[in-house]
Amino acid sequence: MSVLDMIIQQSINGLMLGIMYSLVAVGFTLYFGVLNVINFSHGDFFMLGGFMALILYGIADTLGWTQNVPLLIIYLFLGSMILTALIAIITARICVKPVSKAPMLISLLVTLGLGIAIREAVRVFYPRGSDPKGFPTLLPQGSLSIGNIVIRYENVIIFVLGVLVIVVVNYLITKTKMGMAIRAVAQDGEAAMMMGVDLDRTIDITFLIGAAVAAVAGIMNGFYYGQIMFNMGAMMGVIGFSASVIGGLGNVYGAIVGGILFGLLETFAAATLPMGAENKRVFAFFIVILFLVFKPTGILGEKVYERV
Amino acid sequence: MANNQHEKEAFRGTGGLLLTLGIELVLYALIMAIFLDHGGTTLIIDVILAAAAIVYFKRNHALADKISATLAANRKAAWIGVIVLLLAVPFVLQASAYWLFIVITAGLFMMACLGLNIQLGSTGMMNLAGAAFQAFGAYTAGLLALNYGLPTWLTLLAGALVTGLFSILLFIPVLKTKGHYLALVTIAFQFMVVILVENMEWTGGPQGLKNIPLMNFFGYSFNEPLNLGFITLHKYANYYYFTLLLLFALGIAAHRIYHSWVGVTAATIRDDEVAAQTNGVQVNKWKLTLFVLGNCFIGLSGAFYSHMVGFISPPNFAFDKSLVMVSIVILGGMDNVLGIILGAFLLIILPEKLRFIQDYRFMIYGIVLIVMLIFQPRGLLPFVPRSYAELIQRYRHKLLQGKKAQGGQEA
Amino acid sequence: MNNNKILYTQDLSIHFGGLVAVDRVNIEVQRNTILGLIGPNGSGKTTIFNMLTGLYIPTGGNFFFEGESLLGKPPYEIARKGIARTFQSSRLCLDLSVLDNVFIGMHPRQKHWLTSAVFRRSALAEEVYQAYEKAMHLLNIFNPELVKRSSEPAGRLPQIDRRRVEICRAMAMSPKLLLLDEPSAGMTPEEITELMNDIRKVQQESEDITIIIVEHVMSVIRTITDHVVVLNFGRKIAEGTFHEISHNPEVREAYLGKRG
Ligand SMILES: Nc1ncnc2c1ncn2[C@@H]1O[C@H](COP(=O)(O)OP(=O)(O)O)[C@@H](O)[C@H]1O
Ligand SMILES: [Mg+2]
Repeated sequence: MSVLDMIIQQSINGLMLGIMYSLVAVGFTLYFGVLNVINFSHGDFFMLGGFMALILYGIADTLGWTQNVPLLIIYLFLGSMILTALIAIITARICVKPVSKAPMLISLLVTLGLGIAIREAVRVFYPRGSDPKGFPTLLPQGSLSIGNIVIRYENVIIFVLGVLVIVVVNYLITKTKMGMAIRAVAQDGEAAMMMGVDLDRTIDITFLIGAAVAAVAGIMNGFYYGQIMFNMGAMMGVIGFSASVIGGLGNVYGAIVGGILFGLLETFAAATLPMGAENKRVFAFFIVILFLVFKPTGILGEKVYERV
Repeated sequence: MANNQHEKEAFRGTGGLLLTLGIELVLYALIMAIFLDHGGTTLIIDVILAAAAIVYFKRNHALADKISATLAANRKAAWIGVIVLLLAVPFVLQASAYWLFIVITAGLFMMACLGLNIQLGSTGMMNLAGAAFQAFGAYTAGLLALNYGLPTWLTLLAGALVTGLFSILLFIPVLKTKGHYLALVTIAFQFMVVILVENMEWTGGPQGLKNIPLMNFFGYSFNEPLNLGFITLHKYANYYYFTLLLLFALGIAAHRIYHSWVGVTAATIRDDEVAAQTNGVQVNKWKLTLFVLGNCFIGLSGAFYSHMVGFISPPNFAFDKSLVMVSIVILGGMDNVLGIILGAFLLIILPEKLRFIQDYRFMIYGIVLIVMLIFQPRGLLPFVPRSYAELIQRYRHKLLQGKKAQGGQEA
Repeated sequence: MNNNKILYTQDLSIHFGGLVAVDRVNIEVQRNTILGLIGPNGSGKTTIFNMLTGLYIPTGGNFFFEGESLLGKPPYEIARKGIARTFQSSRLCLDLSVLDNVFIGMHPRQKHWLTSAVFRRSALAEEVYQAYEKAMHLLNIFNPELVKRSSEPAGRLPQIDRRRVEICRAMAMSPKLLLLDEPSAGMTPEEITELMNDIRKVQQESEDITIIIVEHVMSVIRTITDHVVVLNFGRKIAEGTFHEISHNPEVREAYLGKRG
């Protein structure tokens, strides 16, 4: 396998992973824009997405609705997105919104606590929740080879789906009225309220979009790895937050770029560094720290002059 | 200057003394009963009593003030009482070594959180990598003892100092980032450390280190029951007394640092870095000093742990543990040494007692964290403004003498 | 005489991205005088203070304090050279006691740190005691009430007292140059008169203190300043005594006219 082949292969793998990270990162950026809060429980919405799909699959299975696979997949995605978003909206109302004006330390810990509560609830209430759960194989298996490069069909579908979701989110945020409201609140909450934006509704919608998109990522993750686990949200939360920071917190495009970059960092580290497979995240986090220190505004962030 | 208010409002004389010791004894009995009771009834009764007391004293400020004034007026007796009662713990828990072990564990959390409080509570530097720094201390001590057979006092010291030294890895990020970003840096660091420890060979990988020598000071092994002549206490009593000693030393040090220019400087950095700078504070120097100092405390607790349990592995230092440490500091009350002790008691010992709700423990833990922070964001024992009365009072004679001497010379 | 100039700037400038906030400003301040710095909102007054205290690094020009260029020096070093300031929107630590807020002003002079804090309490106690007396003395000048409330959190004080405490904090540094950024903002005329008297008292207290004051209230500028510099859009448009500048047509148009 030539170096070029390796680069192409790893880029494909990285893009695949990266798009998943991007979907999680988008939520961080949206919440931060609207509520000025880093919602550390967001990774657990990602995890919930996977588990909701699993529950829905279980229901479909007992009812014998598993013949029409495309329809089943759509049902899993839509159902899981709706359920996850509902939980996100409720939890946001109960515990994220009340602390959005509190010192950052408080909102940080409350959302971390919320993450624990969600994760533990899944572990306790899902049958044998502590074990890894197998995820149904619904996407077509097999792969396509071009020269030395192998592309799994599954990955292509996941990637295309990810791009599709991003396009839809972008459309919602830039072209629709509620998207405008979200952006207006992110710009200046007070001014937006004076112009008649309903803040509570905007917050609900923000969490709806953020969590639904994270749920998509959670299901994709299930298809990709074939299994899910109650505690996978913690790490994904950190990755998503990292990605949104690399891209520039508050900027939706930044989150997407950041997510893909993080995915690429991981796959290339795994392929090229000694012990890379085990330590790929160490490398990726190292780069994140460098970013935070030397370019805290991220790739797409503008330079701001700190006011005194 | 002299703050005589306390003495004015307090119950005076023997009555005050008896009240002080009585309160201590009752509290002690209520707490110890939790441990000795195999079920959870005592705990529930205690919680109800505590809630009732809080409600009662909220309505009866005068009495609450009077009691706290009495305690303040009988400071010395109160401290002696507390020390005696604490020394008695291994006797009371003689039949339940398990609880003694839990108490020691809570003590180690207190130790770590005293350090974390210097960083987070006093100076406002978020550190969500507490468990990772504890790992530095634990692995340093463990490896030194296993590979070089160094004595315990040296490995403990090395554990603390090496942890402080390793904080250098985070120097630049800690100075350059704030708020959410600093939180992310420390979380990333926490994950990096655990992954590395897991994948390196000389740390024992996922299996960790086994058979770390237990504590031994100049031939006295902590692994033997503690024979006092009239009674033989469980071997954990050794660790308990040593923890107590360290906690007293570190607690007093932390308390003194708080009541000093260092405390004032740290608090100013926390509340307004710009104001600190324009008043001549070398913000970076102090942040580094206090970050390193705090990590030394955390490292020491890690080193202690490895020599007490004899076995450490990466899961012992996972992110959740860092989270627990931060919760202790915030729930107890930021920048408040007593708050740490209360916080560790509530977050380490109580959940252990809640084993009867087994699986739901951590979920409830998360919910309690949320509820507490929403309704009591300043912690159970909120920050009270520093008072210098005590410091000046204590050295009053000296100060007055010095003044007289000066006056004499001038005349 | 040259050494009578405690501070002067040479073409001091700064821009934020495309915005030129301060544009080649030259100011001279004579020792032991009070200089008024005036100009409409956004004309760059606070920004000049921020550069003089090292919070912003000028993008052009230079400034000299006691003959030495302090360009690029960190804020703490500039403070230690003897420049203290207050802020337009008060920057007290509201959770800390009034006393602690004043104590931080004495930070550069304090000698007893970590080791004393833990092991040599008596030495620390002595220093604390001296600091305490000095702080009480300062607070007493501004408002005897503050002495009584010195151990309360600063956040419990009314706005005017907070400003006073902030000036006390700056004075606690025993500065040679004191920068006051709109000290009277939000005060009634009587309170302003009081504050001006306090500032005069402060000046009399220490033999060597120079003040630059940013003010919108013209009566203040008229009564206490020796010399006035007028800024507009980041440029110096006039300077002189209050009488001189108040008759300057450009100033009237840019500033006095608008403000009435
Ligand atoms: N940190 C900053 N970033 C961007 N613009 C700034 C910053 N600080 C000040 N400015 C701008 O510089 C100009 C001067 O501001 P300032 O010095 O605060 O005026 P004032 O004379 O009212 O004190 C204003 O236009 C302000 O917006
Ligand atoms: Mg201004």
